[in-house]
Amino acid sequence: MNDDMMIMPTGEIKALMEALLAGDRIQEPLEVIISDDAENFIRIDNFLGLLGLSTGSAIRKTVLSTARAGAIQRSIEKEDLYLRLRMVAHEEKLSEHFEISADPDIRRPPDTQESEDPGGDVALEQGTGGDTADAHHAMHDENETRREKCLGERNGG
Amino acid sequence: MTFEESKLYRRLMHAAHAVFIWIGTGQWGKTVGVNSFANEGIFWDRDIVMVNYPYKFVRENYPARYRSEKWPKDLKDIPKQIRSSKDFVIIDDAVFLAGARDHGTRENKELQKLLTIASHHELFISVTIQNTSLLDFSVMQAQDVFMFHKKMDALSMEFERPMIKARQVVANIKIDQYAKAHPAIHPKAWTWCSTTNEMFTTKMPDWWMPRMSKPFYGVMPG
Repeated sequence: MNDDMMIMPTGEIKALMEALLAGDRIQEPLEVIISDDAENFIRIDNFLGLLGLSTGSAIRKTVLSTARAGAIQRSIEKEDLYLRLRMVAHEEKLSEHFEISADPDIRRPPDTQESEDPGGDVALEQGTGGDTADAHHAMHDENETRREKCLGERNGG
Repeated sequence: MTFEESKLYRRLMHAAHAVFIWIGTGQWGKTVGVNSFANEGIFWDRDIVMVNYPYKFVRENYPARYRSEKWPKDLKDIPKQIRSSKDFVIIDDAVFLAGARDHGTRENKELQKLLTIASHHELFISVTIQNTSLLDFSVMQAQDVFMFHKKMDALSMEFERPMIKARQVVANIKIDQYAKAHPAIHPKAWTWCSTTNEMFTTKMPDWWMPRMSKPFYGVMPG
């Protein structure tokens, strides 16, 4: 393995593909997926359940978080993807997502909404003052021309 | 949940600089996503610079706040082309500029320098790449890096860098889950932020056209 890439063993590839293709079948919490000791995690979880500790119990949460933290740490250190992928996430309630709207006006501060038109050529405020988008394009054109001229002179001798 | 309620927004609302790395298999919406994100209201005061995009292509197809800039031959020229505190820089398909195979090249070293000093120049810089093994690893050591994940196929995952692989596995699973739970949303809209552990969707800008996803069609970047 070099610094640039890691080739996975065949077993890991198979596990990876199986996991990716089998999202419906496998139902385990996320901490189990990225654990290098999934069986132990489940064993502790079941044992705490048998003791009558509910899933919301503080003791149960504490014990499991300890097991989870250690497992994740070992898992990351060992790069043990095969074990991480033996089981895939439980049908847990998904956290809320948000949308990136791509509409510059939607959250623009009210005092600027009327002063700038996003559809038109907006005058850009420059540190030196007064530059515009067109001026930038012009500067670019000028740079291009200068570059081409230099290249021509160099090539032409 | 709105963007303003997200952890990502809270991290960015007072930020003047950040580096966003978008990874995922080709044609899974990285280019749309990066442009959608750059047009989010939080960046309303920035112009958008597409690095090494065909100049005419940008001028003819993108809104006025966009412009294309060629990567300068000398890092000293960067302030002439990229304006501190004023620009949001997009480096699409960074393999052409900061490819892992090009490690040690002038462009690669200079990009790394720029990313490292992004905070001093108060720049937001977005980099898209299909797989981080294609990207020079030094890019990921820049300050304030946010990782955004699109879906990555299994073969590409095989070559992913070890430190990113776990994040991408979780991202793939999460994207599958959310796509299944929200069938009305296009699967390619989903993006997992592994820095804040949040899922978001990116809406295609109104002015977006299919050809914008292939800006280098018929030309070579650079």
